[in-house]
Amino acid sequence: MTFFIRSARRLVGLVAGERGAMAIWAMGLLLLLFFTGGMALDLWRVLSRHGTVAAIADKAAAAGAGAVDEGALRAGALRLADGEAERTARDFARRQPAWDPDSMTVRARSSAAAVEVIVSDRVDLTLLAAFAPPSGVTVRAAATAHPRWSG
Amino acid sequence: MIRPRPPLRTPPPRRTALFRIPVKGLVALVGAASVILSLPSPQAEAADDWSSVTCQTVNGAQVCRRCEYVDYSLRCVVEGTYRPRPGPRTYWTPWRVTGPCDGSVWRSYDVSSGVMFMRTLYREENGRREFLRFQSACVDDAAERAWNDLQSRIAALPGPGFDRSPRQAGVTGLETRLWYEPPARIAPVTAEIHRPDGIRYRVQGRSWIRSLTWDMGEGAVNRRFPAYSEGDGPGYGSAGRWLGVHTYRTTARRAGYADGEYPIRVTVAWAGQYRTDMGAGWSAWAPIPETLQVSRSFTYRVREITSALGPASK
Repeated sequence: MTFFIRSARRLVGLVAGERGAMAIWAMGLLLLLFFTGGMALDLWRVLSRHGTVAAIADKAAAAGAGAVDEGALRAGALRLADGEAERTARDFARRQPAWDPDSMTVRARSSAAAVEVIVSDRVDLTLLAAFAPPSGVTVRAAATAHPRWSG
Repeated sequence: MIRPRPPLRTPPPRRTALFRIPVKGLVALVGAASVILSLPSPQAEAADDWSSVTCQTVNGAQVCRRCEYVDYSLRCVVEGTYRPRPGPRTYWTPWRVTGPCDGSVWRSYDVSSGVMFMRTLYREENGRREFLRFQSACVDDAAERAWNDLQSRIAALPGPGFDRSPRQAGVTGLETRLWYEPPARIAPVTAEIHRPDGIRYRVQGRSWIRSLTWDMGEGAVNRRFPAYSEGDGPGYGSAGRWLGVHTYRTTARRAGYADGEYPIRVTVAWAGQYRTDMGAGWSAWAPIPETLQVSRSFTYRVREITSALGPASK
């Protein structure tokens, strides 16, 4: 009981005089720190997921570029197999351990010379959710790969 | 008194045509007859210009055709069994196949060990035949003769080829398909042999590639063809029906070949078969013990395909 009486008297003293101004500043700074930290956390999450999808896109594109046309290869030409490169890239992306089927999508398109893979991921925000669409932020990474002779 | 006239003398009888034959013709006829009677063998013999006798055996009987010139025309008579003049004579029977050289089997002959020919010398007198002796000859060079013929044919063929896909350069991880397009078989070659001792026979040989070996520089592929067979084409396989595959694991440069090409060696082994016809039809095919190996070297560039991130290369 004595503790609560003392605390109330001190608070009244602070408001009444200049004593305690630093405490108010400290509280403001603390709030700012929390806000900045939360924003950094959300940004870090977005960047991290972007790195993940970029890695998936790179690897999937490289895998897709390995789907060369065997018939053309036996004739001496190096080109991608129609449709096979896209399918290989998509399958490869979906088999990655970091693949999240609930939030990630992959698209692939190819020509005779290269395959392009685009991986997207939806990231849910915490503190920045108020400033973002309700569905969260979408990160996207694209990669292009082509086969080449070596050796 | 009238004396009766003596009867007219009858003219001497005219000489028949026989007596008009010149003396020279008579001598010739007598000579021909003597020659005919002294024939040593029932085989065909000729007397002289004025007559001839040709005999042959038909169903065990001697049938002779005697021809003579009479009044400048040829007259022939076919007579029955010719009976030689009584008296001893000797003759050899024709050569007959009696069995393999290394055995005494008197049945179907085995050409792989050579074939024994035999003939018999008889003495015949007054229709009684007396055995004198055998004579045998071993014909065991048929395989060698057939193989020599086949080798010369093989030598005339183009050398072994390296037929593969991909044609220009191999790729790691992609199976290199192999087949063989040059001629892989020699159709039967027939030779007729006339030996100095009178033996005649025919030899036929055929050959084919029994084994194919591709030394790919990173391993070998081998295929065997145990028997001669008529194929669809001259060689074995085709681009769509390959015989074997080899999948390179690494590039030639990484395997230590600075020029980026694997050394390839294609080796074919030719085998042969032969058979003989000793007068009673062709025997069964027998293997020729020798084989002939022919090799040829090639090079084959082997590269790999890698993926590169970035814009597509042109």
